Amino acid sequence: MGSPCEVCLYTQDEAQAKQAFLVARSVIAELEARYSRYRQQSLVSKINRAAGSGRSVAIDSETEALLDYADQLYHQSDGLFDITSGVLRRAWNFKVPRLPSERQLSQLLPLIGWHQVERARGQLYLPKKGMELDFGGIVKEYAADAVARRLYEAGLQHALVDLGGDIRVLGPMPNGRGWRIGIRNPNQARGIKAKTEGEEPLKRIQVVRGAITTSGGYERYMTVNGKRYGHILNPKTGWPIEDGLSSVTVLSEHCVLAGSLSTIAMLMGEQRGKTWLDSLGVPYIVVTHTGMILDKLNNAPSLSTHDHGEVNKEQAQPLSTDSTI
Amino acid sequence: MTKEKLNPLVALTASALALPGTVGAGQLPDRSAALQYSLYEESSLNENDLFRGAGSAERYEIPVLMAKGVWPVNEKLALTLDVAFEKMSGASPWYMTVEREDRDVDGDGDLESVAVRDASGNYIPKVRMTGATIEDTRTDLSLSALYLTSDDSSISATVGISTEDDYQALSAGLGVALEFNDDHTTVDAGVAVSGDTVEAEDAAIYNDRPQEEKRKSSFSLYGGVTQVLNRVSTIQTGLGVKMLTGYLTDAYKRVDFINIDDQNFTADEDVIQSSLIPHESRPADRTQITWYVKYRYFLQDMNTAFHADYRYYDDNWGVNSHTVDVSWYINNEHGWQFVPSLRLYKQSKADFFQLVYEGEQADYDFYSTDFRLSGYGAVSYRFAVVKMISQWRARLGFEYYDSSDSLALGEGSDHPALLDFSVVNFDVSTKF
Repeated sequence: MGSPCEVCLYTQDEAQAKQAFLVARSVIAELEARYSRYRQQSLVSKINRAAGSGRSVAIDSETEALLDYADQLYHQSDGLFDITSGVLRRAWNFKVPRLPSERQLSQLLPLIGWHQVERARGQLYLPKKGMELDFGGIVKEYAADAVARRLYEAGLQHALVDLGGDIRVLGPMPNGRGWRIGIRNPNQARGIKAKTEGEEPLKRIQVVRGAITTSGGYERYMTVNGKRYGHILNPKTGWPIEDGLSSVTVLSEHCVLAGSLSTIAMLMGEQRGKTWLDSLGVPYIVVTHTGMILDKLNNAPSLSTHDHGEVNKEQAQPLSTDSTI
Repeated sequence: MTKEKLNPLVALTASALALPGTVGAGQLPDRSAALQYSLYEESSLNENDLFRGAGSAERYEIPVLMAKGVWPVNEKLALTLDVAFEKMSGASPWYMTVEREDRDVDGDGDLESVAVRDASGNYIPKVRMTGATIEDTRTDLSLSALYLTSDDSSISATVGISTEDDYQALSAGLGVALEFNDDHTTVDAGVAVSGDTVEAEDAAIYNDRPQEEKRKSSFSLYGGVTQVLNRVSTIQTGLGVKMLTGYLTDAYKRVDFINIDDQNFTADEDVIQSSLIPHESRPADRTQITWYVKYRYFLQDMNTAFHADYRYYDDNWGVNSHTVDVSWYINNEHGWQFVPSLRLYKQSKADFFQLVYEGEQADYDFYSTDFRLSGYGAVSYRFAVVKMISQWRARLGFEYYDSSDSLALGEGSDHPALLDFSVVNFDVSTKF
């Protein structure tokens, strides 16, 4: 999934642990095989190839549910969260500090719009050639939930699933305490691509169950003429969000929900994003582009306990696997 | 799908919870359970059509309770269990006879019962019903397994048992399905066998009934193709052949042969002298061919699906039929679905069917006055209301079936015991 993935778990049985990692790998591999736009044979590639061809593509019930979910996100965010907006990548390459032309964007914008997607029972069709679906904003988080669920079904009660920073916790550590998770500090991470040892977390919390995700504009951006352009793009304008937040961290029962809420808050920008999260009553912490920290994690004491001690997730894991999938 | 924005967290959480959270359930059905109760009620016969008012005009009433469970065992295998219990009570047509009057034909001073003819010289058919004492229970059990052999193919197997007080049936089937052409085309084929035994109730009392256990068996083959035509329509067609052999006769039905020296009836006995009325007789093999086409069209703007089905049936007894079935599935945004539908059925009679057999039993190879083998037609009017609330689905359905001689394919048989019935059913199902 293009980012480091980690599963930490406690069990008495080494064979069970190894089996659990295999299960986790296969869950992720199967999701990736279906939803990755980089795989020629994936369902998403199939859907994207059929765009504008007049032929719909058959979809299964799991995809149907993901699309229903994406539909909800689209409507709840007033169209800001749009799984057809991935085409903007064609114009925005954050590896090169060059802005796209208005002409480029004006050609891409008509291809964006979830409302244009035609769905009938078990069938989906993208009506314009060049349109694309991208489950990137949903599937990685969903995969963390799916892995956790499968581990739970395999009898595990103490596990942490970290898929590139989208974290789902299955029960507390065996001593009953929450998993200690450090929230990354965008102010420090500026310019730093990967996690480094010296990085001081914005905050450390203990999570006993549920999920925590962070969306940020700090990991991928470009600076042109002294102006910073984050990679969170407004699907309506094709340009990066103006009143952008540096990062949004949300806690929720489900990783897929936490991920969606943090992404939508990023897309809404500082004022609207904060108001929206407040109206939902979810625990969150945001860092504004000026470095101000707004901590509303107290919204859900059941999910987390504050802990300013050591981040020692590594020490807490008798077995772990790392893989870049 | 709600677009309500009053409580976004609730809406989003509900939607997130609808995600299966497990992978690879591709074509497997969801885990689900369903319970259905239905009440089937046949309309009473017209008293004027009964022979001398004997037997009961009250036909069958059958409450049925059905349960179904679908359980995906792993990513490849799903099991389905179906159970049904039904309890039938009421009367059914026993045989056809004709209007008689009591006359002293031979001048011996005793009245004889003599068949009469109408002005055109025809006998006047009358139905002899059984008493309203039939009671039977049936239990059906069927278990099927679906196994995904790859992303695009599956095999399925089914075994079933059905038992009644006097009847037992065992069945088994195997099927394969293949998807190709980007899953736009599905081909399926299968084979099924069944073996039934019937041991007539009270055979010791009614000597017209078979005295020993009777058996029949069937062998079926079918094949079909489903094609996705475009994003809103699909068409399916298939052909099936079923070969039945053995005891295909109805163990409880008789045939009254009408002849001049009719000694079966005496004026003082309405009740037949049962030993003199023969049991019906049907050929010992029957080959049935069915061809069907099903078309589905989804009108996106109206959120409505249109289903149109046609079925042709032909067998070597001379019965053939056409069935046309059209339904509208009207969905609204609040999770309601309304399904009005209409079904038209037209059937020709079996070659050996007659309403009245004149002469002697020895004059005929096969004989039956069963209305199901007569020429007739029927219209079914149906309406169902379905409500979906998250993972739950409730359905209330009503059907009225009205058969008529004038809708027959070819010549109608004018059978006075043609069936009209109504069914009310209610079912609840859930996915979990």
